[in-house]
Amino acid sequence: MIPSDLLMNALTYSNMLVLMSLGLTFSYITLKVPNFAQGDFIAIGAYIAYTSYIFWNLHPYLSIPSAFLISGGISLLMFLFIFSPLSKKGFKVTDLMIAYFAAEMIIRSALLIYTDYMQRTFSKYFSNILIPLNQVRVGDYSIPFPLLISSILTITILFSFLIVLNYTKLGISLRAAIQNPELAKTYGVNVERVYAISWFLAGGITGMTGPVIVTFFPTDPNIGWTFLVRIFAASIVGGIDSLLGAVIGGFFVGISEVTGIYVLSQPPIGLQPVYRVAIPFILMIIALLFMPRGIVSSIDRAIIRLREKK
Amino acid sequence: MNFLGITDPIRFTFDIVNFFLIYSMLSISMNLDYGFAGIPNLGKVMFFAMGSIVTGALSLRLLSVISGVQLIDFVTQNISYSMTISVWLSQHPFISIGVVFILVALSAIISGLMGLLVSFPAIRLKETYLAITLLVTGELLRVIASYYPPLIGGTVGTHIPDFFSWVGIGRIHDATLILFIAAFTFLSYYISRILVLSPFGRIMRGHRDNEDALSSLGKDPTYVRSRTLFISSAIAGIAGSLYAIYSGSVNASDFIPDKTFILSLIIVIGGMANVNGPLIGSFIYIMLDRIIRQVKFYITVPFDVNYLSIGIMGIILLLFFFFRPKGILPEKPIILKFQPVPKEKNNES
Repeated sequence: MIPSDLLMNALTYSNMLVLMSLGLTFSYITLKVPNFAQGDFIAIGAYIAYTSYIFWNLHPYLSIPSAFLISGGISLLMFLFIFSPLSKKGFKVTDLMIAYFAAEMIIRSALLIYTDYMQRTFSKYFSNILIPLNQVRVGDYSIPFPLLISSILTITILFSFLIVLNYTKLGISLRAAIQNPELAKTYGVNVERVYAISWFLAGGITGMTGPVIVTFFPTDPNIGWTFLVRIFAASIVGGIDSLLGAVIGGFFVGISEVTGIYVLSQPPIGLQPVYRVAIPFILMIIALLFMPRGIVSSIDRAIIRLREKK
Repeated sequence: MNFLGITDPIRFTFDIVNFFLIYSMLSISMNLDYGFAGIPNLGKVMFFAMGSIVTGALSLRLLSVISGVQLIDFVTQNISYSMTISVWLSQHPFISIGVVFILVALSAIISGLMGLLVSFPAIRLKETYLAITLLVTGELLRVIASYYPPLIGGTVGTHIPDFFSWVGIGRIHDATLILFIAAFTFLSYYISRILVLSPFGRIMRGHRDNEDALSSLGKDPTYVRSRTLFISSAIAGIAGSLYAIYSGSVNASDFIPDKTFILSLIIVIGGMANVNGPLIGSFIYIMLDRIIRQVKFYITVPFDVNYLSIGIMGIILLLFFFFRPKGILPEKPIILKFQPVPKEKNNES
């Protein structure tokens, strides 16, 4: 029997994975290159929350809007000044990936310098940070605060996307620009602006998880790498170019990682919990072998096949 | 004598030369993948790690069978075992040479096979999937190497006996070791040169430039990728093995993805798809890195200068992409020495 603590943990973790992979999808659909700096937005968000917690005693969850704006802004700047010019110069996907890698190094270097500087100047603990929070009582149940906030965030974001993408002009032009940039241009959609918005959202949504992560998971500037593996796994399992895929993949990978390692670390197998990163990895390999375009497109294809048979 | 924090200039030079040789080998391997064949091998460090792990995990075990030194507790006592075995090896030069060649060969083969194996799930897919798979597999290998102590001692690492203790100690020993590594560097340079000038080299460039055109000419892109990955991973495995032998220890914390990034930086600086590019690029990178590390003796900053290093490398790479995308030595056009003579049509009427 899986204890309820573990399920709550798994749910918090999956909520955050969903948001992170949504972010990855938003940047992937523009230039068709996975953004390796995606994980670093988490660290940026986490450090914004931690800094305001330490200096102004601000509750970490009150920093979620500023984390959204700042990491979204950094993501937008990256797009406007690095990736958009490079892709216009005719760099191929392979080269763009290396450029993304370079951007990731610059951000991580800045974060490492920031933490080292803060630690030396203010003699406060800045690496491996965790802000402990109390549980929230809802009626008779006590719910961990991170679970509550991450669920609210995920549901709000998903609903607002559902509305924006289906019923507003911005959302429709976004979808058009992503599906067929040339055709969208002829219809007068400013593709460049749409891509910029997409990149802002990509950084912002992932950055928003930072303040939640810092209350849930010990964080240091290298946390981007820790999560990048899971983000990629979730995106590939769900389907890297679909927003629904990010949601499905995030929940699938998150829940199977947390519950899977719990089951595997129990007596009959007794695996050490540090190997939990192997679970998203194995899921990713299975997905690549059997449904390389993700769960969503496999379901789509199955539906099409069924219709054809009828 | 203490100049810029260097106490022993000769030792310092040896270290630089050794780093240059190892990085040259690794970037030659990266150039085959990324420069010539256009495979975004973002898991290059994994093959380097594999070579080091094979060497670290097998050297003591193999030698304990040969020398009769019992390994009772490999994980915590490996430093004393490696010292005992080093002393034993100083009496047995032929065994030392034999074992070191076996280890390097094993590292090459295992890394090469790993290249084939890893490329298998994503090999039929687009390059983005291949890059992600390679990157993630590299991280997985690092996690396993750090948390599974029997392999290479977990987070503390493992020691490797000195295979050149029979030469003597001091400068002559270090010089022999450098020569040994240089021989392999030259070998891998030569292999890459032959490979690139061969018909397969042209197929590799074809794969990079236009995969569809390549398959329309009857060449299978999957075959190109797996074969390139096998050769380049074997070279990276040799580099990892030699690095472990030179430094006398293996530590899983060396295998971070930043190394892969540094290798792509070297390729971009030196010149993509130019056989001499990796050598120039490695030289410039090593010099830059050493300068940044020595600068901290002049200026005082309230943070660790090493953190600045990776940021500067990232900026340099982007600057090269913007202003000199072909690198210092641009790719040379293919010139066939023996132009195939077109057959004259005899039965023209």
